[in-house]
Amino acid sequence: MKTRRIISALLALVMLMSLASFASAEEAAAYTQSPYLDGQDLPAVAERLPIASDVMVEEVADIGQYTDYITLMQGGSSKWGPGKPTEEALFRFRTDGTVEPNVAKGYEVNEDCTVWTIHLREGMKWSDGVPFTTEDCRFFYEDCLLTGFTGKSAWEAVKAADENGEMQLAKFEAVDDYTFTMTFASSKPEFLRELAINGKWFFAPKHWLEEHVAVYKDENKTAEEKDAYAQALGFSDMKALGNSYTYYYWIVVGRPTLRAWQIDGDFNAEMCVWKRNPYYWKVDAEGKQLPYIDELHFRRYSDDSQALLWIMDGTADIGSVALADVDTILASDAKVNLVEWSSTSWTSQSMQLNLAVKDDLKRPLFQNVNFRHALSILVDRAQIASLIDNGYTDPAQSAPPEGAQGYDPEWTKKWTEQNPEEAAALLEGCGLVKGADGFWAFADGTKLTLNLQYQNEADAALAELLKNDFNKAGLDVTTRMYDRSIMEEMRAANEHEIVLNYENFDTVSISLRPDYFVPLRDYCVWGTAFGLWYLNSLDGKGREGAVEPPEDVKAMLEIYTNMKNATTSEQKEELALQLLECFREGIYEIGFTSANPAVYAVNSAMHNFREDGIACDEFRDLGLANFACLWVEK
Amino acid sequence: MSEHENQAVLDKKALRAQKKAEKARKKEEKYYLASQWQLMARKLGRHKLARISLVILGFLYFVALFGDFLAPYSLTDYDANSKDLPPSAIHFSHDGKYVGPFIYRTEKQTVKMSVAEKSAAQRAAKERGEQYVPPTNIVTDETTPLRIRWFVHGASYKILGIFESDLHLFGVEGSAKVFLFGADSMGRDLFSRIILGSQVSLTIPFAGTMISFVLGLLIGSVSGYFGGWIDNVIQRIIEVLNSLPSLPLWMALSAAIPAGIPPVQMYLLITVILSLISWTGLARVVRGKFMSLKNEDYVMAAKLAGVSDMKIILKHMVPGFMSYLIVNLTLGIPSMIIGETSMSFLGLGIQAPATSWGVLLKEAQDVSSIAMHPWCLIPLFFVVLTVLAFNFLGDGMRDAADPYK
Amino acid sequence: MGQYILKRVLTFIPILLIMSLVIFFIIQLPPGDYLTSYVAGLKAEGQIVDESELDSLKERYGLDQPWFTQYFKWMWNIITRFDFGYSFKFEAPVWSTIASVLPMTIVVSLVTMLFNYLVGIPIGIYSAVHQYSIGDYCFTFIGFIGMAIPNFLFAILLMYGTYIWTGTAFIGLYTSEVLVGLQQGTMQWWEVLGRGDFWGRMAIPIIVIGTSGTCGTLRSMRAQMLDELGRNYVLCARAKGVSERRIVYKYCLRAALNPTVSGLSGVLSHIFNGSTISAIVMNLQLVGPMLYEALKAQDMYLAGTILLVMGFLIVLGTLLSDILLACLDPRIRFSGRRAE
Repeated sequence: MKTRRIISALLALVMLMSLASFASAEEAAAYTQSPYLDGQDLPAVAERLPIASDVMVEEVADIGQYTDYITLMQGGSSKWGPGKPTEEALFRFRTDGTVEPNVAKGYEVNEDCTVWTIHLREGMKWSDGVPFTTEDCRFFYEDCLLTGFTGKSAWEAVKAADENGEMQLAKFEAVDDYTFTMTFASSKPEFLRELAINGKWFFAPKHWLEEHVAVYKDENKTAEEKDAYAQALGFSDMKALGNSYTYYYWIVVGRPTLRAWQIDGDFNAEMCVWKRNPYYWKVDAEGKQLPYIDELHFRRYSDDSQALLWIMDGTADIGSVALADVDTILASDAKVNLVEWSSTSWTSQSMQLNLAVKDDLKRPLFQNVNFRHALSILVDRAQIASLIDNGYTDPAQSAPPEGAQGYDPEWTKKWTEQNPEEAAALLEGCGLVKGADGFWAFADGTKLTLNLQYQNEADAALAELLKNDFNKAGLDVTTRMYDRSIMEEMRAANEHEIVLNYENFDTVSISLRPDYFVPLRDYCVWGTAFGLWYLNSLDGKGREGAVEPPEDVKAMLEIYTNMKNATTSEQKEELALQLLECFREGIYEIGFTSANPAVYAVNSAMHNFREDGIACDEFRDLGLANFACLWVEK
Repeated sequence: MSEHENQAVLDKKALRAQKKAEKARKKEEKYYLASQWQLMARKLGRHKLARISLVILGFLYFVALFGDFLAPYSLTDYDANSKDLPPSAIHFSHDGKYVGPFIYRTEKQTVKMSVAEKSAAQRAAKERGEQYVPPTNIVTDETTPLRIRWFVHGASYKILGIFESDLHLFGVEGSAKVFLFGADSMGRDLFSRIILGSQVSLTIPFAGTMISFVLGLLIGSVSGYFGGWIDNVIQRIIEVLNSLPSLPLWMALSAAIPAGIPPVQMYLLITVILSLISWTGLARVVRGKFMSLKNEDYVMAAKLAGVSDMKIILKHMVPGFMSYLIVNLTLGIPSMIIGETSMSFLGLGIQAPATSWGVLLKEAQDVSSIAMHPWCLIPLFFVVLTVLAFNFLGDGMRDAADPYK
Repeated sequence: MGQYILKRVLTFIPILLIMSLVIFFIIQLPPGDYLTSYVAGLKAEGQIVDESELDSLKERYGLDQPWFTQYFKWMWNIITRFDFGYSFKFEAPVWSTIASVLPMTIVVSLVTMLFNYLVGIPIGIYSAVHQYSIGDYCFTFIGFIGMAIPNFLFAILLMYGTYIWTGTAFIGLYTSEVLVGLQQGTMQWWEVLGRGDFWGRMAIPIIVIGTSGTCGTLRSMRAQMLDELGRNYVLCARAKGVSERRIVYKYCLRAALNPTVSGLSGVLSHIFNGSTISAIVMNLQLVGPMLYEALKAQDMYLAGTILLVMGFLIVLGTLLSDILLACLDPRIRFSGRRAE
């Protein structure tokens, strides 16, 4: 009796095991493809995917059905519109700011972070079926990026300081077809995250590009001959060809890609169709080859109202929504869900004073922290929050948002309480005098006029409210909108004074992306000319228009230099916090409200669109929605 | 009835008839002796729509002239509690008693609700099969009626740019506001903005047309009167200018206007920009008229009598086709009003907080505004009214100026 | 006559040259150049452009040279090779960029113009013949209303209206299906013209753009008709018992059409350009919005070429309308013969 029971139990176990092994064997063979690909002259789906152990399995909330197409919207001519949602990086960001392997299968790093070993997926193929190997990575790095074919300077991500403090490029070594190493002159602890930001793609289809690069590198050919070669292919010159084929490559028709979709038609057309990549290397848990969606249709609009109407009438499946339009959509019959993502921006409404302003009277004034304090507390922030941000934000100072590095609730409240009396005392303390006409003037009697400049029409409202608040306190104000390109010209020539909502502080990590914060070149608008001074101090080239920064900015630049050269993540973190402290002290960007959330209207029949996203450039904005896993229920 | 009486009646009748004839004769005399202008005015009266248009335009210009006094609020009366409020309801009786025109204090209160929360509420409503209504949070205090008063003190301004004053035609007691046409997205009174905007929208086109009128008249007459190489050069310049679309000129010149100049000068500059392009058409017509008139005998006679060129042009020739010019002037204004709205649409027009009808229409050019607060379209009514009035007036003038009728 | 045409054609060339210079100068007038707008665009996308990249871009676009050098190079290439340059913004030769939107521009312009004349001329005649009648007032009111509502607002009101009434907003000229077909090459633009949905969508541009022009046509028609109807020859014809119909349509209309014909001078250029503001609001991909984009981005060769072609067409249109006028008007025709 007992033995019988044991035997039957054993039998059951064997049967179960055999079933299980049978199932797993079947799973390996049971990759399925979209009916879209049926009938196309392609190898079997299993042969198109990487080897079983290297196929990337996406964890999706709802296993999907194949969907014929979705419609997205494209305004303006930004190539990143379709670029970000379809991007495939070697390593991609998670929302907590760490990275995970994507195109790469994995990585190893030695103890002092000088040698990074990166593994690729064996059997992975380009969209034309040609195997993707380390040679494609080497080709991109050495033959495209470093030769200047891409048209971009080598990224910070591939540079490290040697013992003399000179920046050296990393050395690329192929171990085998699926493994390569990057060797740095000194420790490079943040290599992967930097790579995920700068060099999202570190590969290019050698088999397709080789010929063009050969012409580019050919020393026997004159520049004219090379340009003629490019012109025959429809480009203005060789540089344009290189930039297009290796940087903005996703809009090049016919170029092999690793992305889930491939462009099929003119990017500038009214409608741009992207078709699925039959060799895409990701599957879901059931072995269905991704993406679920066969085609992406990018439809071009020329006025924001068109985008809103397309969301409301169901033409668009996913679209970004302005806060002012939220109620309109909710009150309509539109079959969409509104999804709210948080943002890494420090503020939604801001003002930056150019501390290096050309005017000799204003420069010391703008550099005086008390003057910024006075301006900050003259503003009625609650009014801005409700009139401009429609009540979706709170009155706040420009500061890292909740959950971000350096977040401090005290900082968000700094200088936010409206107090005209205190402001008047501060202004007086800055050496200003109130004239007989009721307006503040410099000690020598010159009237102080604040010139508020902005480049987006939407900021006219902010300019108006600020002007009103400042005028009430006896500050003379002019407001003026400049075209984007004119503003850029002014910024480059250091002719800007007080700019509104110009590249608001926004980053996942100040150590990874300091460009808009610290004046390390002519980029950050509150001290463009300081950036030139800093560059001069590095290479002694003597750029014109450089202005020596005050002590507080010098201290900030020193911290930045140390942070850049730090050899451990902890050190970098520590110095980043010090840097943030500088911003907390100096309030170089005066913020008025907390950051706006990003709102997307998503077809209510769509599945897997994450609700907990964070909209920021480093996470590739909408790309974080992981388009390969989206599908629409019919 | 006696003969005597009969005679008296007859006399009376004759007298009456005589008087009537006299009147008719005088009328006829007046008609024949009437100047060209009087004739025009007379004929203008026959065009009913032109007559009505004239009255409407007179009223609109009157309102624009005293706009600061007529508008209850200023352009910078922002109010977070009045954002997008609908037009105020004006009541007359409170608690069954007649109080006169009054309003209840109405405010928009901020209800903190995130997009995600709103979206969830909408989904829940849909599941219940209801139409979702976004939280409007408009609170009306119906306990105290607030009278609308005449001649109240408010924001200060200068009447006609000279006398300082803070008197406004009407307003509400206390701190509440009356929004006859609703409030805009910044909580300002749309009624006031329309009135104050008309000061720009009605005067810029007028001044602009004047400038291009003077330019066209001057250059056209010089070209037509002197002929020869002067004419040739001017015609070629006109040809080149004509072939330039206004868009790049607008963009280039708007970018050239320096920051910080006061709104009035800004208006003036925009006016000059607009009119610098539009004189060529008139110049061509004037030239043509001059070409045909300069061979007339009376011009020849004046020339022989030694009258100066300038005098011949201004005293003898221009009046010959003045009526045409007046019509041209009247019809030039509405197209400039539309031109101003186009400039505002492209963001090349007047800068905030100064306003114009073009700015107001640009603000209304937005699906959310049209769907959620349609009162933002009220300025359109005034633009259409003005443009139509000018057009009908121009038509009437043309008919009146026609010497054959 | 032949001599007159020859003389006009000869003055063509210097005018075109001066025009091109003025055009190029105006395009260059705003501060900055394509590069600053390009860099501004990159920055708006979160891109980082460093100094060496900027310098190489500057050299690549030839923007480090003074504007007249750029002008002469451009002109030289046009004259010698008929090469109008390269559009920075669209990254394609200027001509192919323009050609991609030209067919639809011409279709839209022709259709709206046709509408304009079909509405403007009959109303003009009617209101002249029935001056001061209720019909006169009503029809002119309808004719004027299109001009009185600014196009950008009219367009969005109609677009929103179609959404409210049909559930689908009529934006642009094509349905998604047609657009995919066009892009995939399974459909050609002329095939679209045979589709009902295309004409349904065309209604909005016709109403918005077409009616904005009826006002002018209507008024000039009405004025000319009134002028002609008061002439002595009409009186004479009436006295001789010629039917009113015949007087109006056979005699007056012919004479009254003259100014409309001379108005044709701007028509060629208009057909090429289409409309700008309405096209932006209605999402029509025409030459007009392309010009606006090019001007904004300071894409000077594209903007310059569009403006140059427009200018050329205006001069050409003036010439053609003068010749046409001479052929139409017997007085001009016969006076010419007498002179010979």
